[in-house]
Amino acid sequence: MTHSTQFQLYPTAAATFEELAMLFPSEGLTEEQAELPFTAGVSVRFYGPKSGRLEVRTSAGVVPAITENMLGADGAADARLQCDALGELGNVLCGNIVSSMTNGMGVFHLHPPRQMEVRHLSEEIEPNEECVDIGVDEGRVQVRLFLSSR
Amino acid sequence: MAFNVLVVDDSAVMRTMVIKTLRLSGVPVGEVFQAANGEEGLEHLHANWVDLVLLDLNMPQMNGEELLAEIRSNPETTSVAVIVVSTEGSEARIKRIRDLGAQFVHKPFRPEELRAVIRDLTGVSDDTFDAVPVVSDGGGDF
Repeated sequence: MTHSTQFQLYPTAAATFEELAMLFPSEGLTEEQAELPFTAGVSVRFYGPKSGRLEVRTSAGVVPAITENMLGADGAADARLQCDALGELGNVLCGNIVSSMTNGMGVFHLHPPRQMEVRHLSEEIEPNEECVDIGVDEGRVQVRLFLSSR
Repeated sequence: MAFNVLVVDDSAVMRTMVIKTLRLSGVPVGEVFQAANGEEGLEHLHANWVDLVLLDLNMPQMNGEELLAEIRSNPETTSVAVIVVSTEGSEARIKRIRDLGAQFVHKPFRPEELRAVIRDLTGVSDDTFDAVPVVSDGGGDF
């Protein structure tokens, strides 16, 4: 993983969380946040000048907060809308991160977001995977970027 | 005059956010149609009178750029106002969208950014804002 990409991942993720989900993140985790297991995740595959996937994983309580902040109180408890809200967050995050990797040069194509099963939300990080942990009041978020070509 | 609006995005949550921003914009809103992809959007355009389209780009089946090209190629819809709301960062693709006469708003958007573009495109000014009745869907701010 390159320093420049690491540099782009956190600020882009933090800005998206702030602007779209109105959660105010901090880089890194408290000890308490670090122990929280992931309970939800979404994966967005992309191809273009670079190919790979972006994943967003969250601990319990984060997705309902995202949904409520995006929609207002209406529908925040609806599981289908919670999946949709996390998917859209992953989609927006992926779109912004891939654009920032090439400074607006080249066209990327994004696949629709896919919900991840809890059994696939391990803590293990793959060799070509870059990862940032983000602490929010509601718990823990992890953003992972996997590049299959550079 | 009230504007009939079509919102095309594969995310129901994003469609709701766009519609809430639209309703808070001061633009008089008539009917609001929703579509989850370009094909559904095209069906709404053929079946209904639409004044303003708010359009995502990355969607399954028919994407937003393809729908925009269809809108511009049909004499019945060629002059419909279109705002593309997308994460797209490719300068070349944004230029193609603008060349097709659409405005572009980047996701994630601040409600005031989208509101400014909607008001600019519809001609609803600050002067008329206070006089325009806002159509309420019973929802709150976000």
